[in-house]
Amino acid sequence: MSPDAPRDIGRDAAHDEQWEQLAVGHALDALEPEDAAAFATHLPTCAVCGQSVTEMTEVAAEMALAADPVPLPDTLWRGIASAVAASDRPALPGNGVPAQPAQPAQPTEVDLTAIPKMIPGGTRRGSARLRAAALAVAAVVVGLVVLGGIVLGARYLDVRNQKLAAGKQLAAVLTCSEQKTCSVVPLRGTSGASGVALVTGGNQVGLVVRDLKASDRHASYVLWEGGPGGSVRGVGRFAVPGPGPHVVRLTSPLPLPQAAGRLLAVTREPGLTLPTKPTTPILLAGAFT
Amino acid sequence: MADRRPATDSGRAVEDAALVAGIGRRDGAALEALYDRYGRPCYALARRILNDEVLAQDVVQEVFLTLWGHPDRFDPERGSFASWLLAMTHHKAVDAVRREENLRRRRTSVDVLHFTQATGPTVPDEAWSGVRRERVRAALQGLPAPQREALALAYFGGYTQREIAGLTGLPLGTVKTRMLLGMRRLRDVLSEIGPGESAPSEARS
Repeated sequence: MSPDAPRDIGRDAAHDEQWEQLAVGHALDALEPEDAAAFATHLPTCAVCGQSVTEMTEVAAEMALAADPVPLPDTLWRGIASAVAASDRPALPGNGVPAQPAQPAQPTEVDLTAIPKMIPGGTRRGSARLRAAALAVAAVVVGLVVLGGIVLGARYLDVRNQKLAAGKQLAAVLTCSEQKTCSVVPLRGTSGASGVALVTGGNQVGLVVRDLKASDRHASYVLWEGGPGGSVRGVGRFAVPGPGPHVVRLTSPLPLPQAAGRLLAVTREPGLTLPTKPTTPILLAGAFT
Repeated sequence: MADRRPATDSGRAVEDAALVAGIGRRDGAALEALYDRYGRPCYALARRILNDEVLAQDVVQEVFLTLWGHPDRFDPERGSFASWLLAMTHHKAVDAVRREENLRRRRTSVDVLHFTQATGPTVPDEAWSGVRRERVRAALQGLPAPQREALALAYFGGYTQREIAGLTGLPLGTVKTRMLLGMRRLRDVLSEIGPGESAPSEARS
């Protein structure tokens, strides 16, 4: 405790003023560590200081309004939405639906029978050759990301995000290499977009996409999993900052069956939460083999 | 985007509480609504403290992710949502500026105390916010200079009370007294002014 901090608790005016000085310092985040510790111990025991902190915090918030106004960067909300979409807590569909306990998503009847026609190649599972292929794909993607950042002279934030994405990609691949079940699913689109999904550990998906339109505050992308019979459920939502390549990791609320014929698809959906079924055309699709 | 501005401060508090409850139900639209309402003042505060666009974005992103992950940390019994969110923003920004010590070394007390004049048309800003900002600035300007300097160094500079004592060459007790007197005076002046006609709902640019 600093020399000026109160050393005992009483109710005389001078003593209260010393605690109020600490309440002000607390509201302004200006206390020394030892004073902060002393005040944190005292605060729950003192209604007067509790009231003082409440009042001073409100005054401090008013001071915040004095700051010069600045325009919000477009990238800010996109970053928040992307992080929310990638957060560990699953976002359940619809508004007003309690999130816990998580309920298994019910398959929704959507016609995905057209997807296999879009898929030129297949997948293999669990082989050393494919793990090597996955590493090669990752190395190429990481190279593209780094090279793209250099060539395009991206802003610092973009370069940093790309480095983070490259790190995530590497993590996804390394995870893949350690898993007995690891599937690589190429994704193809009808409008030039492409991607690859690395499915590991039952419910982990490393996804690399390129040439998708940047997501915005109104819409981002959803990865779907389904069977050739038409049932489909959302795996996760993700944001795309630009043409890419862009890397994301998703955790499926339920294990992903990596069986031949199972499908993966990507659509662009409005909102932030995971919808129950696709409402827009499929942009990317691929199948396990 | 539709104007979500409530008619009164009590109306704003009710709406804020409903939106926070919506986040508890994993409603992304509720988070976006609160971002629309408070993202700009949070970002402006972080920019002011950090003087760095990237670090300020990191702070605001962290604030809204914390809100998304832990909406239950907001207790309406302990103050308004705006003050809670701005206090969290301030806390995280101060943590960041203290980690980035070189940021503070470049700033003088003059920098910390300086505000630009009334906003121009390049920054979309509702009339209420502009009026409120000028009132708060007037209240700060009305403080005795030593009190204003101590508060600005602490709040916008991220300095601790002891650091301010070192910067100003004053005894620590004097700094604490000046900060207390300044905050009391601000509280009294701002309560006389009142909250204004509406709330700080600020659509994104």
